[in-house]
Amino acid sequence: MILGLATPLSTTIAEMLASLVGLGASWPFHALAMLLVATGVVLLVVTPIGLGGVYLERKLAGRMQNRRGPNRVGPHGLLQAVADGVKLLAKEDIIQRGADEPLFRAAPYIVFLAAFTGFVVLPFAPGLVGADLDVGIFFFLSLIGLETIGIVMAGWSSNNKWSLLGSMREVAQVISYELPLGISAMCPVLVVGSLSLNDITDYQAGHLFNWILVRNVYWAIVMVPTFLVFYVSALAACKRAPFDLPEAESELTAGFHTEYSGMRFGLFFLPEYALMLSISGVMAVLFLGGYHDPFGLSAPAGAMAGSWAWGLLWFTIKAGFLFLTMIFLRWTLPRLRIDQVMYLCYKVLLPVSLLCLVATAALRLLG
Amino acid sequence: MSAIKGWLHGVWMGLKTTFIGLRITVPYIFRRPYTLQYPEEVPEIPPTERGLHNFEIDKCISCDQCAKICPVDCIVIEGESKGKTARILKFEIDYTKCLFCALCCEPCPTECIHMGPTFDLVGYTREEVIIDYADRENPRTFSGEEKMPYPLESLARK
Repeated sequence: MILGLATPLSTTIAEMLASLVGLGASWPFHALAMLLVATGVVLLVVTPIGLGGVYLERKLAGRMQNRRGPNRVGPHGLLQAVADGVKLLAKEDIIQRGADEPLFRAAPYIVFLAAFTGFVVLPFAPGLVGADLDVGIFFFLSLIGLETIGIVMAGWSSNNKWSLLGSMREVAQVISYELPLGISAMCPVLVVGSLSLNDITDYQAGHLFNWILVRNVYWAIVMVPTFLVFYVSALAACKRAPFDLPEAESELTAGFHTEYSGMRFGLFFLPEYALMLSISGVMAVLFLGGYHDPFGLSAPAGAMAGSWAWGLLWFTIKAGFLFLTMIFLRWTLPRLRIDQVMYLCYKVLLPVSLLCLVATAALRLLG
Repeated sequence: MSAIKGWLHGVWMGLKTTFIGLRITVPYIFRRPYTLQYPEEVPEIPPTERGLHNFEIDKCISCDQCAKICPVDCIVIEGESKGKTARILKFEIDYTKCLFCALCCEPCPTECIHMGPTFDLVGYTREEVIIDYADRENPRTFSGEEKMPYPLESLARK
């Protein structure tokens, strides 16, 4: 069965795995089994990637500060993230007096789901996509908006001034970065004429100079600023330094998740890295040609597995590079003030992105 | 016009300073980390380190000078003298009190007490960090100079 052709996750990868273990569509609990298998795929594939992101960040942060980073648990500290996960699972789940309990309990799940569902629309390799939605990029951007709701719920329900201030900042930040984020994402969409991330990737097939970022000199003049605007907005969307105002350890203790303990905190912590990885993937798809290699080489001859591995390799290289630059920036730049975030988003990113959108339209008209 | 110029300058400076910052921080990834893996690697102790005492019991005449000068009274000495020979029964330093000032080394007429290089005295109880240097079954004393890790240390330490 070919994976992911305009079908949602629960009927592609999950269905294939289910048929592998002999649970066909005739099985009475088919839908339930699909759901469980899809959950299993997320837990087994995406969570280790998120944990790997945590490890990479801690290790690089250590090295950038002349430290070694985690090196006690497992070889080179590789199991540190796993140990932390086990620790979080074992900790007490505290809900403090005065908290709005239903909201407090629900908030981490919303954040977790929103961040991890983003992987569904990412085309990792030819044919390897959870769901090739027609509204792929729109779906992804709206998930980022959904995550914000979870954060606002957490901040409000905690009955804590730090949490409330953190979520207030998150709201202020969201309404400033979402405009440039959406508008700069519109530029590649305008070029390709499709919101589907698969279509956008296919448009950039071939060598380096088919990528939207550097098709030729004129394109580069328009698309490099667009890419930078999208990158900065994406940083803000991930709540990463220098835009980590909603958490702001040094000012707000831990911002919106101050009152969370145990695995509920973990459900806030892991999505941060999941969102970073998925938004890096979206950037790679929108501007850097997705899973296509820059040399115009075709995949090594052979079966689908070969083209999967080849596509996955290049997708990982591109998204991984963007992920690394996000880590570098976090440990380089100090945190902005909220008014500086507003200034940056409204007075710099928004005009630039609008200008880029107009220029992209002109490019498209002129060929 | 000058407003646009200022805006462009601001954007340019924002980009430029970001890359200047990255140029400083990123090379650190490729440098050797400075961290010492302490329990496995022992730091190099300077020759004048004032750590746990090195006590040469054979030289000591139990004159009590060190105990008298100690500002926190952490040294307790018991001894008996028979003619010219002295026998130390107890030379106890209470490291819960000791402030490693090295004043005890100064008045010693036979130069039998020095500050040593050991810095990591820990114990589970208070009794564990009260060390009796005259305990002959569990000797913690050093006779002669050969236990000194540095050749010139004996001079430096007096």
